[in-house]
Amino acid sequence: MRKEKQVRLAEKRSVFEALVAEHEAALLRYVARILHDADLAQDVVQNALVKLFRRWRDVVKPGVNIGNWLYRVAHNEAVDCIRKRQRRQLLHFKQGVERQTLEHREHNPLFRENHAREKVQAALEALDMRERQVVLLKIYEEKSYREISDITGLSSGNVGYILHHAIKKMAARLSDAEKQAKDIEYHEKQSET
Amino acid sequence: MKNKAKHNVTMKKCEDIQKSLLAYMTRELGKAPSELVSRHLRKCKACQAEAAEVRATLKLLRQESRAEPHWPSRLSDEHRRRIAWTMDHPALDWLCARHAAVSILVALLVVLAVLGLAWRAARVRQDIRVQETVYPITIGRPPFHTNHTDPVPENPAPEDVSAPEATP
Repeated sequence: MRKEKQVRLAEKRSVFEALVAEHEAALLRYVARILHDADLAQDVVQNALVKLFRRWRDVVKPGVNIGNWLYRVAHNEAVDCIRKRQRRQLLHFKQGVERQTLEHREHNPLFRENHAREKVQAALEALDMRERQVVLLKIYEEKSYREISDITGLSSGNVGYILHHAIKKMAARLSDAEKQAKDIEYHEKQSET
Repeated sequence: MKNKAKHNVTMKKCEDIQKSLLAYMTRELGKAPSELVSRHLRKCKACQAEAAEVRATLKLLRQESRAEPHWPSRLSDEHRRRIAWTMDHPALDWLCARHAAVSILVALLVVLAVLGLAWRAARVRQDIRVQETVYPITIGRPPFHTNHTDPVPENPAPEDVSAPEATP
């Protein structure tokens, strides 16, 4: 009886380790994109995997896509993490810290080089959490509407609707940023002449 | 068949075409709707402009995704150790996972134990007080009597029986 239990535990462990090996890279990438922090992403993914082990019987059964389940749990953990971070930032005089980072960015030569990337990042950040999740899953993780629907709990039609609006918002924001950049360039040239 | 016909009618509107542009570009639309969209795009300028905007945004996003920093693809050893600990100590992990509930339960048990002890001490003190009031402890006399009535003296004093008055 005891031996049987040990064998079952060993099997579970080996399956779990195989699942970790299969999903950890994608989950780390996805969570790091949400949090912009590789260390925090490690914590979040670890928590998601621990949850998988704890809820083994509910998750590892036919009809449940473990990868999608892990994406869902990791996303919720990441959102919790953002909320905690926001609360902490409020406590640590958020404005002061932000001003410092902005000043640091403007003096940083790499910032100008990566300006296009920064614009896309800013447009992505301007989306609400649900929109950002759907965009990340579709464009970055290349998931299908059905998979996104499974991860988010939304219907496929709703996923399409949210994506459409998110891309429209991003396009508008990016074109605004482009116009602003052109204006600044124009004014700079005029002041030089 | 009916659905298909309905779909064809609704898909003709520019608004619907524009809403399905992203699905069309990411190959989420079926074959028939995709053909409808491409046919519409060939002749509609407004939808062409919209499609160009969506395509440009998608291109920027894809470029950004490729230019991203390399996020770690493996969990660190420390995080792996934490997961292994969960696998090795499921009972402790169960307690850790419910630490808030367990803490509240332990706190409640401690409070109940303290209240119980206090109640017991109060009872004992009350008993002593009752005994002291009924049988006050005096020096030189045993504190308790076996009989509740006053002791009867061994040689009771003869009753003072007065002689009956002489009657005339």
